[in-house]
Amino acid sequence: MTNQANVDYSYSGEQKYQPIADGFRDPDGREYFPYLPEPGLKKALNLAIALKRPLLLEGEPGCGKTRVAAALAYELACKNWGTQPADPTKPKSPKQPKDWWNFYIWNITSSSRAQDGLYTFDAVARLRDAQLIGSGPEQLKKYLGEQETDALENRLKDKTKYREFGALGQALQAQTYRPVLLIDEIDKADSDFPNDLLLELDELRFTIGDTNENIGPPEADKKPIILITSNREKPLPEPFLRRCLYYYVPFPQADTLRSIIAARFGQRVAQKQELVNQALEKFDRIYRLLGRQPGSRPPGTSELLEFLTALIQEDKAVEEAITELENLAEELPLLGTLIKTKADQDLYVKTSSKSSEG
Amino acid sequence: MSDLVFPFLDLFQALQQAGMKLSAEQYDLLRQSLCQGFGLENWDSQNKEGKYWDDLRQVCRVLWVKPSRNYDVQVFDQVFNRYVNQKRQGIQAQQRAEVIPTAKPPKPLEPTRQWPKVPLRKMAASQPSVEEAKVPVAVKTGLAGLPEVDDTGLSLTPSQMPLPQRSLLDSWQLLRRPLRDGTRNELDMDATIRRITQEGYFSNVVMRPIKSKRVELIVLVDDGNVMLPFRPALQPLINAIETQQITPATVYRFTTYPDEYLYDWQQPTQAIPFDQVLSRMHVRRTIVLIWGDAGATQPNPSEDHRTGLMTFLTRLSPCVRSLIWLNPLPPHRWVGTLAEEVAYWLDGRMTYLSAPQVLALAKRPATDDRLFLRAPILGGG
Repeated sequence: MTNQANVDYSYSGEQKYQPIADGFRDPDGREYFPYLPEPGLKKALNLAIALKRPLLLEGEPGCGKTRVAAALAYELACKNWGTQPADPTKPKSPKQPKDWWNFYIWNITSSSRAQDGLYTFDAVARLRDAQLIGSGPEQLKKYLGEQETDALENRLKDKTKYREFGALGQALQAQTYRPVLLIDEIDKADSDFPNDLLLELDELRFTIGDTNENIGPPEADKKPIILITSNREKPLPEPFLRRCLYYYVPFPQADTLRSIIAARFGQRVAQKQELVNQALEKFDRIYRLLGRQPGSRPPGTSELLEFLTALIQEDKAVEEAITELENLAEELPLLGTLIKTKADQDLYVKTSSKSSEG
Repeated sequence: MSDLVFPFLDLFQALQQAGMKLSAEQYDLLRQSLCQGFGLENWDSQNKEGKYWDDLRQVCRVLWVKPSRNYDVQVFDQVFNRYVNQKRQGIQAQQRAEVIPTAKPPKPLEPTRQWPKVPLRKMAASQPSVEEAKVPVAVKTGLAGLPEVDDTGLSLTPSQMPLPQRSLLDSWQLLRRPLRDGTRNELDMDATIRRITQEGYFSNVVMRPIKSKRVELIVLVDDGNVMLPFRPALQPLINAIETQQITPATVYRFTTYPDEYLYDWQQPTQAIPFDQVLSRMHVRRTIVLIWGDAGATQPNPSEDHRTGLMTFLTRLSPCVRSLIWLNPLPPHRWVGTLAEEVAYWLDGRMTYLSAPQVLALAKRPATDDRLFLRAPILGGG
């Protein structure tokens, strides 16, 4: 498909490599939206790609840590396979490849274990198959049929049929190019979790004890590009940090927010600049108000996008939306897209009534 | 550039001296990045504002700064700025006088938090050192009849803490025993085989929850004035937390007793609602350690103090796996004060500064260690 020598892995975030505003869907059903990287983030990402090190991203919730991985996968596919952003009128462009750039996501939960990301071995299924065979082959044929019995016998002979790879395990297998791996919200897991991944992240190889298989390490030009995000709920252990590059994603400035809105909503906001300006003003006030309040979390970019989506619904007139914005303190459902707790909503209502009196 | 083979080695060493725990491998990362063209943007245009350092700064920051005390961003910025200033002055001087200035290594940054160096104690039986013997010294003769006190042997800097860091770490290991917790999603092979042998055929598997060491420590420190003299005794614990030997752990401050707000340890002006801290606790994972006198320094407890403490403990107790109250005052000083009452409520979970006592508390089996408050003695005191 692609010549090995000239795969370009750099990330530019340029306009020509952005998906359309309504989003692009890959064969796995994952959606890609336009993403405007912050210059520092772009540099950090390129550095991590060049040095073949995992990149740890931290930042306020909703500042776009997770989205950047998808944006990278999309750009790499565009750049190297010539996939152009799909035309909105023709959702399936003829150039679109059948399979997509290998992009693995490992969502960490509080019960995640390091091994889950590598592989799982279904010992129960194997035990069940062995029991079934042992219970008498003749009877089995009668119940399961010839074909199913043969399949069962074949399965039982080959241990590898019972193991299934996790996201990291897949990324470390033989690849034709460097895949993208996202380990999302690593701080959610057990505090030992990052330490359990040291060898895998360092040497990019692991062993499956149940089948005596050795996976990896991949060749130098096929190493996965690993992005790890964290919300800073827990400190991460130092040996783990030492192996990663680190970047703190700052909250976008007002100008950047404007371009993000333009990229995400495209034509839908072209006629509604006044509305966008007012909405940004309100957002800015809430952001600063909650930033000062101990224990409150100011809204992030994703909340702002939701807020705008609610405002620019197609059947809603601009005037109506502007009135809603002006009385934001009373429009609780709309306010709820930006402020998520009752206490903070009350605070906002109180301060806004005070400022309108004064 | 200082050297083409080892570019910016002096910067790297300055950062190391300033306390960043950088390894040779991390220096190699910088070399690799420079080789691949990172960090040298705008390098040729030697404009006077020194903008061409920005790219290098960004690259070094991504490579070396991490969310940890040993890779602190403030230390990095300080050292980097000083380095850039030095270099720029060097270049300017060169341009002015064509004299090559002697390259001075940047001054090591003083570590910000460190105890004053404890002078070695002189042992009573120690021999005077050779130099002392050689140099004639004027001898001060004391007043007749009064014993002479050698004040060099007295040290007011505490050095031997009642709770050394080692024993704290041991207690922590005991506290974070693994527990089976959560949904049953691990195959219990032994129980499955037992069932097969019992029933004679394979019917179903037996599942059990995964064993995990998921424990977090929350330390609440009373930073009221009466607690100031005891602060050094807490330092080993704070050190262990700051060097991440006890992790995950969070330290908060309060004064006298925690009410609606707790305060951040690093930034005492930052208030955190107690509700928020409570809501983040986990009944099977959170261990709370309280450092305070519980009113042992006040002979006449006020009613506010008592109700405040009681409310606090009542709210806290259903949210935690275990609680230890470390009272730096010895138990005989608790008698007749509020501390005696609190110790009674806590049913043996208040202890003084003694390593065996703390270890014993940590050893309590986790399953029975659910916190139940005893009913308070009404009108007691």
